[in-house]
Amino acid sequence: MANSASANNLDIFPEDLVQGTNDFHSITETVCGVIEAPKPPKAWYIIFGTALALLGVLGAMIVYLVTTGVGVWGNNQPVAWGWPIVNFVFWVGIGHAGTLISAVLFLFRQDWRTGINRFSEAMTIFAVVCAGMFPAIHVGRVWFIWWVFPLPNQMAMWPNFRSPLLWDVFAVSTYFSVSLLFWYMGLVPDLATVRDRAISKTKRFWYGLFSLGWTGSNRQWHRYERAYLLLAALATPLVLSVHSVVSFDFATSQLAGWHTTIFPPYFVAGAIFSGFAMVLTLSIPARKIFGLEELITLRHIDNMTKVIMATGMMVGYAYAMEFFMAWYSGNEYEGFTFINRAFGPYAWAYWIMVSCNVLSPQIFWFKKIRRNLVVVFIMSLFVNVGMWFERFVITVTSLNRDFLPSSWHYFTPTWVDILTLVGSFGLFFTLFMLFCRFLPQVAISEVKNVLPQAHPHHDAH
Amino acid sequence: MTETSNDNGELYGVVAEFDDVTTLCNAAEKVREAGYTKWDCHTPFPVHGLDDSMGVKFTKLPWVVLAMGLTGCTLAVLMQWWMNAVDYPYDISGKPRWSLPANVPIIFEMTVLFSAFTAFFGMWIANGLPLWYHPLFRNKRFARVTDDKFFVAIEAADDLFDSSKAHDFLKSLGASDTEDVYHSAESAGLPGSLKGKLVVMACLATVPLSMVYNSYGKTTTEPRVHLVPDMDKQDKFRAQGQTSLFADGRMSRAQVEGTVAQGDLDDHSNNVVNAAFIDRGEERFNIYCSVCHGFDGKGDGTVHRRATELADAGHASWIPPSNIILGLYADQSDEELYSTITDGIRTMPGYGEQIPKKDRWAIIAYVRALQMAQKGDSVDTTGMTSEQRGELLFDSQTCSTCHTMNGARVIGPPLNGLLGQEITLDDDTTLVIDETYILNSITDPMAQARKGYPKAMLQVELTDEDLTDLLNYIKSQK
Repeated sequence: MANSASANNLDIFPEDLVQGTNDFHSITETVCGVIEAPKPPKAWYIIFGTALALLGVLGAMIVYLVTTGVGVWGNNQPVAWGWPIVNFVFWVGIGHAGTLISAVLFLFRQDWRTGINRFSEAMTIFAVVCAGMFPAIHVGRVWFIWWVFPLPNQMAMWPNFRSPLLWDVFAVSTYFSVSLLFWYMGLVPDLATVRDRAISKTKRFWYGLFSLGWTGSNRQWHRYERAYLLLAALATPLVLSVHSVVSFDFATSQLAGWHTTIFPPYFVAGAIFSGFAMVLTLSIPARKIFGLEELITLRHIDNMTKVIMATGMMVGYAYAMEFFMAWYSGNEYEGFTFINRAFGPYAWAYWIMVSCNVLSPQIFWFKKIRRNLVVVFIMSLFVNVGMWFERFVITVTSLNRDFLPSSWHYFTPTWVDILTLVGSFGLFFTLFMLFCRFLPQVAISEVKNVLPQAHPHHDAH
Repeated sequence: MTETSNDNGELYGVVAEFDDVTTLCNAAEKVREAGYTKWDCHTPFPVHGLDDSMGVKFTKLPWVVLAMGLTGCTLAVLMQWWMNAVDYPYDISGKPRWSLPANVPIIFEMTVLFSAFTAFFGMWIANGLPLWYHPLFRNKRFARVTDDKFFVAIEAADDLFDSSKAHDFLKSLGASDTEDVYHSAESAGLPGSLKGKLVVMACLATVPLSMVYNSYGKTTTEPRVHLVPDMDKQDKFRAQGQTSLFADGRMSRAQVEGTVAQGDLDDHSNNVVNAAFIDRGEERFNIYCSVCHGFDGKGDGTVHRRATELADAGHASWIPPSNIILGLYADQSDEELYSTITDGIRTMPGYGEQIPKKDRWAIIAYVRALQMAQKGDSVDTTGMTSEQRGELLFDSQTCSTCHTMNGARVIGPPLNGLLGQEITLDDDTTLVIDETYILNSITDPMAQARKGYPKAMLQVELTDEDLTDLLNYIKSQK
């Protein structure tokens, strides 16, 4: 540890990690202020109201689907995997940034993560909720979805553990559980802060209940930090495994366009790419609406755009490498699939994907653009759109040209497909808006920890 | 600030407030050096270096997590092995029921799941949480512990504890304020209103359970509730259903007379067994069958030889392929052989997917040829008459595939009573069979082919002595 000197501290903790003249108390005030305000800002009502309406649409679509059957969707041979799987992979990909920011960046001692980790962890959990919904409702008889778990049933059957779809069940549910624990554990000290400031009895009861009687005891902090580190170390390989396993759904099949070993790393890079884009989509308006500009600073946004640019180039490399492998393999089916992908009936989708994911992030080479919130926000939307199309392209273009030309089929979604996807955004934003209103959006205790005055200087010796 | 008397309850200890982390760390070091054991620091965030100052022992949590992680790993292996290889074995494309690589993803996920749950719940248990009541919560100043103030609390239960000494000591360490903290005089139970609500909720929670228990194992005359009528009641014909649409009132229809199942039209009767057909069979046999059964069909293929080497060295187990020349297979009908090629038998996989039907029949024709060709391999011919040697040749050199000696027509003409027969040739000339004609027909079969028979006879390499033996045998059959 440095013997003294605030100069040293300034090097380790650059000023713009937390901006303005903030001390411990002002951070508490800023973050808790959002929860304690008698009424949330007008923008909150507008977004929450819209999200709630869309959630209703989702509910209606699910009821219609379950009571009528999966025929209400556009899935049909040979495109048996249509929008449900596209939406599943899309949402689960978004759900990767949270754990990456909170666990991987934590292990790498990237202190800038503290401003945005709570936010992105919440986003992760809500995105995984949206993701998990799609495989559950696509089975047709939803009430039998529990058959995917190794539970004793009246058929005396066990699931097939060698199926990548079952790996998916384990990977996604483990990921959801661990992310939830990680998120809740980080929340406990902050919930205690809200509890200790609460005026109303109801608030004191509920925040008191969920803060588990936290007293900030240092003996407890010691174990808490150790457990946090352990969870981070466990979540890091987990986050990489989840999208790898999702990619196995495709890669272990023998379909041209899917059967490729590049999928796991390519999917993980894509997941990080889309996840960071979603964090930006959410945090740019949120920091403005809730007045968190001093905690979620331009430096955070700058860093995230750099991650987007890097992973965007990885994804671009994977797109190119897929074409190379199709040619180099000499397999005529692979070759056909990829030529069909770029120039066939879905060429429009392919080129939307390439322009959104590969070309557009290139403008982040310029610092001016990285710090222009309007441009960054629009770019983050582009990336979200592009990544949805990536999953669409992979799924649909590989299936729509079957081996038998008589089976060729142009997939079109039905109105139920479209409204279910739109409705899933309703679910996501409803949960997210509730989070923004009732839980601390920024990890209070962690941000305090990156202030220079959080570290004892040993002048007294 | 010290209050010696308090009507609230028993003294819990003394709590001191500090304004910054440096003073806190120095104070913590002094409190430890003073010999206190039941004391703690309370901070809004984990203060780095405070563990050292307080002398907090490193937690054993990581070891517990490791142990539980290994437990999860082992359980995942055992679960997958037992469920998929023992209790409900899945046979998928003849793959082994238990192979580790395909089970790795779930082993990994379960290891992480168990470790993470242990890290999470283990931490709270070790910390003695949740504990919703704590005497420190009764101190008004202490509410800022989660905001911006730092506290040291020394418990009255400590052996060295003395209230006034503790106050002075903590003040001397730079505390901005010190106060006594008391337990609540009343028991720290739940508030009365909440108790009532919980009791009501608990009663309501038993309703669904009691409904389930009530209907468990019982029958009912009520029809079942159809939540999804579209799926339960589908407008379709079922095998044993009734309908007014057909005269006989049945939903199921009998097959129209003369119906042929798909693929059944293409049977062996359409195949012409000739040299080209057997050649085709030989080519296919050498590609698909010879790797195990050997080029001569005796079961000595390269795969077999290699596998036997491995098995002898203890690296594998191996069931040898059959010698298809032996009696058992010679006696099997063509259909039996066809079924074996198509669907496989014992450890032999089915080749129905790889070999088209016609080629399977060609292979059978070639196998028959092989069987014939090798029938007499190990027969000692010394002391045999010329006719007996001829009979052996007849059976082993494929003659008997097409010709019989009992007047029955198979593919070629029957060969008994041949001498002196008048026959019609392909070019419609007639001829009386003599020895020359028989010999010529064996050496150059198609030169004077008989009318009404396929031009399919193979040329067989025979020595002059063999020819004589064969001729004598044919002549001897009246």
